[in-house]
Amino acid sequence: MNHQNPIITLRDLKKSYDGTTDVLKGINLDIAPGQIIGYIGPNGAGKTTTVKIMIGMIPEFSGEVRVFGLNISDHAQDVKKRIGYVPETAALYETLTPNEFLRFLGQIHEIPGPEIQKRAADMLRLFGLKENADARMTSFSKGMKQKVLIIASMIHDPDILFMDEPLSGLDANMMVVVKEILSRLAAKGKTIFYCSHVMDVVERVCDRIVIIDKGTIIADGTFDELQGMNKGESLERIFTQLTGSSGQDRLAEEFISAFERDRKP
Amino acid sequence: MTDFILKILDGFRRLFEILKVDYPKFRALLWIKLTIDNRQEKSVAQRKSNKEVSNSMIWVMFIYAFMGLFAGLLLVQIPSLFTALVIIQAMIMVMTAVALISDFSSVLLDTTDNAIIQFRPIDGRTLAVVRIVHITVYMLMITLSLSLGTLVVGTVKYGPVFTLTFPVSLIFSVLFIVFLSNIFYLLLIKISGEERFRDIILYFQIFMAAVALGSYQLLPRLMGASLLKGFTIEIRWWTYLVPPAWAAAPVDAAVRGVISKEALFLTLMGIGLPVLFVVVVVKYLAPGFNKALLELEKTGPAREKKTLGRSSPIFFSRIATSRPVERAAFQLVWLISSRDRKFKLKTYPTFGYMMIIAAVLTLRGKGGLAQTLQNLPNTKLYLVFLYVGCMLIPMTLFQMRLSDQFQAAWIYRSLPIARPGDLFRGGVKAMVVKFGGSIFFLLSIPTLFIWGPPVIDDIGLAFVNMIFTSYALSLIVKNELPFAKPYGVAREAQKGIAGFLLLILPGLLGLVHFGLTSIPYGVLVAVPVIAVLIWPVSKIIDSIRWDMIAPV
Repeated sequence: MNHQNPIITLRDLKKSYDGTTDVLKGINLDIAPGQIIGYIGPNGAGKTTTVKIMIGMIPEFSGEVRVFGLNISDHAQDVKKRIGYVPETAALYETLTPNEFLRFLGQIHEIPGPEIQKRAADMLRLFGLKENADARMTSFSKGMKQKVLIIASMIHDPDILFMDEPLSGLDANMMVVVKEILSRLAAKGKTIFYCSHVMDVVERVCDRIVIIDKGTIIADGTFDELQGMNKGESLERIFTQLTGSSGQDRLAEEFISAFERDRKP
Repeated sequence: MTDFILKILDGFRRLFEILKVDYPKFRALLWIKLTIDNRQEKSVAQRKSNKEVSNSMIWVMFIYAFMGLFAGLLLVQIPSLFTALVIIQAMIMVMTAVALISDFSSVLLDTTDNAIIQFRPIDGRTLAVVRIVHITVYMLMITLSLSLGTLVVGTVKYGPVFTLTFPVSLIFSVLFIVFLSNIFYLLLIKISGEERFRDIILYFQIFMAAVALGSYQLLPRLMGASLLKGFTIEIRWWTYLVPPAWAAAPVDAAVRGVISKEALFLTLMGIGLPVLFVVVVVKYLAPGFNKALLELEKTGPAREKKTLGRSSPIFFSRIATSRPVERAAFQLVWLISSRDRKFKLKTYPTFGYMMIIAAVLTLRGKGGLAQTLQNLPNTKLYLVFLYVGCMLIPMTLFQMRLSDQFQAAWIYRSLPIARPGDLFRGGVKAMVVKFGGSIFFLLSIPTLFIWGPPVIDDIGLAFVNMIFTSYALSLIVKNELPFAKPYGVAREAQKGIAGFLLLILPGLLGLVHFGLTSIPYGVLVAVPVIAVLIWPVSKIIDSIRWDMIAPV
C-alpha cells in the first residue's frame, strides 16, 4: 500500500476459543484511510471475529491491533467514540421507537440533544422512515430494522464504519442508495470495512478485497489484481477457486443425489 | 414511574460521579432499560385481552405486601422491638435474596444487548452500575411492598420516629443483599472458567432457592409460636455477624432514644458494609464484569455425545405417543428442556423446595424426630409426599411455553400441522413422562421403604392424578405452544400467581384420595375412574385450532 499512515493495523492477530479452536491464525493487515475494504471469506472463516476484535468487543486475543494508531487493548473507549458498526444480526431494542433509540445513542456519544434530533429526523426521512419515527420497532420489517441499524451506525459521524452484511433485507433501490452513500463517505476520507457474502456487491463497491479462509488471509488486492492472479472473470469464481476445497459442481451434484439415495429401499 | 426513579437518582448524581460513573450515559441507558421493561408489561396487556394478568409487577407487589402483613403482626406479638425487627429484617432479606436469585438474576447476567451497547463508547464500570441499579430498583420495589405492613403497624405502635428510620434501614438491607450477590457472581466469573460459570450459577441458584425457601418453612416451626412470645435476642458477640441485626439496631435505638455502644456499632456495620461493598464492586470488580459476560456469550462447540437413536427421548416417545406430530413435539420439548439453562433454572429450584416442604410437613411431629419417624407408618402422611409431586409437574408446563428463543416458534406455523393440539399434547406428555416419571420414581422409594407394599395402589392413584392434574391445568395455557413466548422481567413473576392455582387442584384430589383410603378398595377403584377422566381433557386439547393459538 502506498499510504504511509494506516488507519487500522493488525499485526499477527491470533484468536482461539478455549485454547483449542483457532479462529484466527495470524492476520496481518494495513488499511489506509478513505478506502472501502471488502472482507470476504467462507462461513466460519473468522470475519466477524476479526471485526469484533477491531471494535473492542472481544478483548482477549494475541497480537497487536491499532485503530487510529491507538492500541485497542488500552484505548477501546477512545476508538469506540469514532467508529460505527452494523452487526450481522439485526440487534435493536425493539420496544423502543427509532427516535428514542437514536436519541439514546446520541447521549452515549455525547452529541447535544437538538443536534441528534435534527440528524435523526433527516436520516429517517431520507430512508423513508419518517412515518415510523415514533412507532415501536417490534412491528418493523427486516428491511426497516436494517435501515435503523445503518442510521444508528452513522449517526455520530464516525471515521471508520464496520459493516457486516449491511444490505441484507434492503430493497434494490435502497441498496443503490446505501452503496452510493458508502462511496461518498469514502471520498470524504472515511474508511469502510465491509464484510459480505454477496460477491458482486463487493466486486463493485470495494477498492480493495481481502479474502480470508480458515483464519488466514489468502488473497489481498484490488479486484483487478485478483483477476490478474487467477484468470477468473468474476469475484465469485475467484472466490470459489481460492476457498473451495473440492469442486462446487460435484458438491451440488451430490446434494441433489441425496434425494435419490433416500428413495432407494 | 421511570422518570420518578431517575429524578430520585439525579439527587445522588455526585455520589455516582465520585464512583467514576459517567452519569449522563448511565442515566440514558437506565432510562432505556426501565422504559423497555414498562413497555413489555404493557404490550402483554394490550396483545392479550383474555385472562392474562395485565400488570403483573403490581400483582407481585400486592402478594408480597400481603405476606408482609404477617411480618408486621410480629411487632404486636413480640414485646422487644429489637427482636421483632431482627426477625422481620431476616425475613425481608431472605425473600429479597430469593427473588433476586431465582427471578431477577437474568437481569444481572443478561447479555442480549451486547450487540447494541458493547461497541459504543460506554465504559465497563458505567455498564455494570446500570445493571446493578436496574436490579436494585426491582429489589427495592419488592422490599417496600414486603415492609408495608411492618411500617403501618410500627407507626401505630412506635410513632413517627419508626416511620422515618425503618425505610432507611431497609434501603441498606437491600443494598447489602444486591451487592453481596454481585460480589459472589463476580468472584465466580473470575475464578471459574467462563464455560462452566453458567452451570455453576445454575446449580447454586437451584440450591440457594431451595434452601432459602425451605428454611423459611423451617424457622417458624423451630421457634414455635409459644416460644415467640417471651423471645428476646440479646446482643452477644455473634449478633454482630447477623446482618438483620445491623438494620434492626438503629431503628430500635432511635425509637427508644437510647443509643448504646452496641447499637452504635451494629449501625456502623449496617451502613459501613454496604458502602464498602459498593466501593469494592464498582471500583475493582465491575470493570471486568462485562468483559467476563462477553466471554460467557461464546459457548464452545458443545457436542452431544449420544447418537439420538438410542437416547431416552426417543425411547419414551415411542411408548407415550402415537401421532407423528405429537412424537416430534415430545422429543423436541424433552431435548430443549434438558439443554435450556433458563428452563432448568426456573424449574429445578421449585423441585428442591417443594421436596423440603414435603419433608417438613411429614416430619413435624409433637415429640422428637425419632418418635415422629416411629409413628410414621401408622399415618397417611405419604399422601403429602405424593401430592407435592403432583403440584410440580403442572409448574413445568407453565415453564414449557417460555423461551429466549421464542422467535423460533415460526416453525410451527410453517409446517403442515393440521392439529396444533398435537404439538401441545406432545409437550405435555414429555413433561409428564420426564419430570412426573422421575419425581414419582424418587418419591416412591422412601414411601415404599417406610409404608411398605400396601401403599402401592396409593402411589398408582397419585400417579394417575398427577397426569390428570397436568392435563387439566395445561388447559390454562393451551393457547401457547412450547417455547413460543418470551421471558420478561415482569412476566417472570406470574409464576407466583399460577402457583396458587396449582395448589388447589392437587390439594383437592389429595383430600379425595385421603377419604378413599378409609373405604375398602376405594383407592383401587378410583385409579381407572381418574384414568378415564383424562380422556375428555385430552379431547379438549385435540380440539385446539390454529386461530386459538396466540400469535408469535
